[in-house]
Amino acid sequence: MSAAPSPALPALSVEGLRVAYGDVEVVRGVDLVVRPGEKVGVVGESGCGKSTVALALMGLLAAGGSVTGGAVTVSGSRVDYHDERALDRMRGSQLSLVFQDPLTSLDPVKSIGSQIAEALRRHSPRMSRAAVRARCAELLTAVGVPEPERRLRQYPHEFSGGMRQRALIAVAVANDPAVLIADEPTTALDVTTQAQVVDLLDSLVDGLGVAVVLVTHDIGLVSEFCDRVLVMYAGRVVEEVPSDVLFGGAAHPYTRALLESLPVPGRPRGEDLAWIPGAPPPLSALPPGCSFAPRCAWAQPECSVGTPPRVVVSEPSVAALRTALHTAECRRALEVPRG
Amino acid sequence: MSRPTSSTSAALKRGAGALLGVLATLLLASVVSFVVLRAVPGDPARLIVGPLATPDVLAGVRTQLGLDDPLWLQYLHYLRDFATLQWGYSYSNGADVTAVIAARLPATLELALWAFLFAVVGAVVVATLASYRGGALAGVAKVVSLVGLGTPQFWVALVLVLVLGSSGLGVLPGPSGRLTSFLEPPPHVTGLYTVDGLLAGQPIVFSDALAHLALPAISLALIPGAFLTRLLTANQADVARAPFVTVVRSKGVSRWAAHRRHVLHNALLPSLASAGLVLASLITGSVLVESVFNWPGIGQVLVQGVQRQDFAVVQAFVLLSAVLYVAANTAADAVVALVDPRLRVSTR
Repeated sequence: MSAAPSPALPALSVEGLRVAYGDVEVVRGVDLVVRPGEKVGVVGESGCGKSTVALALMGLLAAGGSVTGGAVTVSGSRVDYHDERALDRMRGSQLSLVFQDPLTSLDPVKSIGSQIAEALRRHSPRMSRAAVRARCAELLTAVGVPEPERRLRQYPHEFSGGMRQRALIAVAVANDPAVLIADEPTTALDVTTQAQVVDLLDSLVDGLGVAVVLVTHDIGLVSEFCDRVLVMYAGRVVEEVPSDVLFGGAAHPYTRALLESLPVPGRPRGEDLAWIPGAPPPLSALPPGCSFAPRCAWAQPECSVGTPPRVVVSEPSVAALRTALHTAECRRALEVPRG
Repeated sequence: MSRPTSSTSAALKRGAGALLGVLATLLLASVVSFVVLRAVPGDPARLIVGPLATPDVLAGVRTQLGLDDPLWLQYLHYLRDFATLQWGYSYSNGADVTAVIAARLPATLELALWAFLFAVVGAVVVATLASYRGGALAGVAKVVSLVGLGTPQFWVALVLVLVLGSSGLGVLPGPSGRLTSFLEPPPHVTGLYTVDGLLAGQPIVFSDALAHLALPAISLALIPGAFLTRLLTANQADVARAPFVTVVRSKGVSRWAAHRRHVLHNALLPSLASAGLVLASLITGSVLVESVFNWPGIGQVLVQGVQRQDFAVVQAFVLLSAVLYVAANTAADAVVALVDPRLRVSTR
């Protein structure tokens, strides 16, 4: 893959992250290691906790939500989610966010330029006005917005959806962060614009060496863009798989079901898409044992007893790092035919 | 077609549309005030000449007042006279209405402007703190603003005078007009004593005028202040939930700075139009407070005019209020269009 294995510190390391809204635990122990320059995808259905992971890492959970456990390290330093001032210093400079809906992610009454400049000034207060303006124009050019000088003076309503998302990416990379968290960055865009934004992210990652965590429900996008994929279900990572073996090599029944429900071009018209029976369980009332068991075609009685073990599906080649392990949280991971 | 001309013509078009709307509103208001005053029982000529005058004298006055003319001609004269500031003779004051109003308008304007300042500043501070801090503070602000909306102004005025005025704690002057009697009014520039006092470099006049203003302005500001507080609190609560606030936070901006720069700014814009109407209502609606505080404004003239059926005064006041409302509304719209980038004529 793109990033050569390096002995350097991981850009982002998450161990046993737990998040609760009130009494309900919505993220139940998520592990994640991202090396500099690496692109890791987090996929799952709505409500599986993937967006909550993104917001929790930023320390920007909605009111009522809190990180209840786990350790997060960014570029080697541990994040204290109770220290708001330290969080403010970290946000935007080391960890930054590209949000779901570009139409509502920009302040409608401030110019694009001032919104990019805000990110720069926050972390480099001594930068001169001229330097800020020059850097803003440079950033807009880097994200592929033509005529940056004129565009900086414009307001969000004068930008198309794709252009707004480019501007938001410019905001996110303004301070050369170690990690960029992109939460459904293309969902609100039309298909051609999606492809452009993904290409842009790809080229930025290669150019800046920034690590990316791409949160999306689009398993196709993840398999194209990312080096590794984490599949989430009911607040847990049920499978972690290198994306080149995702299609044809997925071991967890849930991942397989997700892949089978993708529409394939060229499939005969009348044929129904595969779908997963039932709905994800409410997080306030999870079934005992494996939380996917009630919907799983491969479930056996023992699946509903005790936490399923994490099974190593395949070891990486010797040179690769431990992070390239393919694991699945399923008792029967090795018995299920790969799909 | 080049950009500047197209955007200029669009701006002109919008301006012309606004002007037409203003004229239509004013015309409608003038018709209403004209018809209503003609419809009330009572003969203005009889009121002027008194019950003992002979029919000849009465007829003479009627002709002099133009009351024999057809209605449409009377209406046209009425419009012409209003536009040329000939608002008739107020027999209850023994002077031209224009002169009476001109002498008293500055006092009302000054009171209204300070009340407006108190209402807006108070509402912004309370609403911002309530929506930023939330919790108990928000609850208290909500209850206080609800009570404020439902409390009669004259009652608040009386309580304030009794508690803080000369008969109570004596912190502030009671109902004794605009200035302490031994002080000379400052040289006339704007007619607003606080402003003129500052312009003339007389800090004593300024502070004395302000002390006299404080209680009536606070009484007057209470209801609109409570209204604006509710409006601003609701707007800020809406804006605070918008995704762009999370994006601002993701840049490392603190919650307070994000609230101040982005939430408050977005919440203020839709409140500006309401603020214009509040200002107009403060200028025209100070009658009761003026009488409690013995304030020499137009409110008292209006009350007398109604009691003595002095039509010229009432008529002028009604139309003047309409003009003020329309002007305040138009000004507020213009300010909104200037400060809200979404309403500016696009440059693309």
